Amino acid sequence: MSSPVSSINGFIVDPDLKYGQDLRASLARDHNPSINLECCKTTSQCKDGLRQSKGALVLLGMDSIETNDLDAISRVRAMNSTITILVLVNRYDEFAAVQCVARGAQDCLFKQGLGAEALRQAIVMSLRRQRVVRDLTSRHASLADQLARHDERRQQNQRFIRTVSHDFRTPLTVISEFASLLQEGLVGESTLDGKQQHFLRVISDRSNELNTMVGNLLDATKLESHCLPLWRKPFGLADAIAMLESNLRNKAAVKQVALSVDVDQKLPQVFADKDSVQRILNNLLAYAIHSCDTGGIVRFAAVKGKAGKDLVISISNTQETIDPDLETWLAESLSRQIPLSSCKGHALSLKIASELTLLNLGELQAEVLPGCGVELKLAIPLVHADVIAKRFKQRLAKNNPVAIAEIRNVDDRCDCDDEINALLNLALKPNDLLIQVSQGRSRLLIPAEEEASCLEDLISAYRNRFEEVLADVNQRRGNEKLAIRLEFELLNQVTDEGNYEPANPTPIGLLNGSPESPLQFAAAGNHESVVTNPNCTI
Amino acid sequence: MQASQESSPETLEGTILIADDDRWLNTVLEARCSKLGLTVVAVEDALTALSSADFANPDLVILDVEMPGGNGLAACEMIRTAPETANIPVVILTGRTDADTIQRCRNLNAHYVQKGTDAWPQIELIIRKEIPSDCYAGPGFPHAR
Repeated sequence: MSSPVSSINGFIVDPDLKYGQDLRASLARDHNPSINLECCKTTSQCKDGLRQSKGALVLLGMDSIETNDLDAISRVRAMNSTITILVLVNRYDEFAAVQCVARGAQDCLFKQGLGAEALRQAIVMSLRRQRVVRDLTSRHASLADQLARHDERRQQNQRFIRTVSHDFRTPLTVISEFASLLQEGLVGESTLDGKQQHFLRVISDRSNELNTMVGNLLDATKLESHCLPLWRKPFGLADAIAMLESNLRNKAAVKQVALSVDVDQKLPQVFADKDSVQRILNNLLAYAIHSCDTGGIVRFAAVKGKAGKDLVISISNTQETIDPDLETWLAESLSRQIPLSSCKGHALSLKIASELTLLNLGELQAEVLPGCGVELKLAIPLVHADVIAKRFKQRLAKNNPVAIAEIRNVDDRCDCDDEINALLNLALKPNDLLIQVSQGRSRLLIPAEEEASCLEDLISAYRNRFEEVLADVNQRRGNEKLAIRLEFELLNQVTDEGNYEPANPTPIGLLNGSPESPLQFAAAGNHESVVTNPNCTI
Repeated sequence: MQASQESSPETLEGTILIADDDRWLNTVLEARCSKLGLTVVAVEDALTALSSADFANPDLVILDVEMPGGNGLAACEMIRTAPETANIPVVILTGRTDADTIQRCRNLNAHYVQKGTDAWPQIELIIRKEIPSDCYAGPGFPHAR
């Protein structure tokens, strides 16, 4: 609390000088605090005093509150940012009073019937309010400064973690690969005995663990700062698991656990970021192997979900004795309520798997089966444009809009969908989505970073990037330039229910690319024909 | 610079250029590629990598990013710019995981592989896709990633 003031100095600015002088006289009578005011007819007459902060108060008299009068408040505030302004008006209304406060005054009073004592009290209260405002402003500035320094430290930490993990990766690759080369008998003449083989497996396994830790550390940093880049696209689960299988089999062998992997090559493709799905699978399988009983079995199986929207992956292990706290531990590890920074070891691995699952629009659940073991169930979406759009809006975009466009290959002579798709993918930024709906039709989803973003601008920016990619490819192709005609159509943004088809779709433009002329963008309705390469031979 | 070749009945044919300043990493990659039947040219800096890309006529190039004598991404850019080397598949093998590096690889039509204990299975898959060359997409077209 601030100490009471004994005297208040300032100005009365009123076009009616007589009124100002009477007011000064009534306030100047013996009182505590004493109020000593200098009378002026206009703000310019007291501007030197205001600029030099010779007073703490300005009583600003006005006839009515109109724009010109309100500007007087702004002028005083511009001359002195900390002074207390109290507006006295001949014609009062509530809306005008609010306008005065919005311009920087502390209060607005009706002149008529305003007694000296009431005005004195209003002045004291206004001074207190202004002091609170000054205090808050100063604290706000201090907090902003602290926040900036905190942000700088956080960025330094992230840079350090990135550098350290980068530096770890080369030696880890070398250690692991040398151990594998020895294990596989690719170097040396003599055969290794069982114990030597086992030790090499342990070296490989522990370097894999270290590799996972480095990956988790990086993922945790990126997830906490919301800057994990994801490139979602269709891929087969069998390919993803094949990359991990060798390391996981080694881990299982060290732990003396059997690993059964049952993934049908004919399963439909999932739509997700392949790298992050591999990290999810690696973390879940590593936990399942780690917690499995020696001599037990870890099973990995995948089937198409009943609703046909997801691929459901089941990872289970055998544990005869279940820790009574396991269910709670698993629930906490997968919970979004627990921050990443408070997790460690396998809890961190599971937490990261859970966060990555969410970003890949899937679901992850754990179930403890008493006397049997633990089952981790992971659902990853299949290539289904409507399902992806709905989940994208509901789970990730939340309050911000999502720009949706349909891109159509409008040249039916050009049978090069795969090539066009590859090019369209190259123009994506991290976290954008491109899903092929049918032959020659793809859907593009771009999340807006701000609520007020112009969706058409997002699509236009994408189209510009695509033009650059195509121009670059064509430059390298020499005389065999790729000619394509694509129509971009902006659709309604995704609603919370996942609906986005407009009643009357309107094309926003056509992208023409031909070997004879550089890419042109035709405005809506101006669908000029272009010379295209009917075979689109790549 | 080292070159080696080893053949086995189910081997691939071709030359692979590996550029990494860590000679032990070069050694393991060389052993792995030789096992596949490929001829390996291993170098330890970006400048030698560029000149080797010219005269060794490799079927695939593996580049580290941070090397003496230049950045691997810049070297990849130069490989892409020269008409004689523009269509050689490039693998960027790096410990960097930032979005910029990944995006640059995409823009350069290069395969991005993170260094780590699971790097080789990914590299092997890319090599098997890109060599022999009859599965090439064509001149100037981005290679599948």
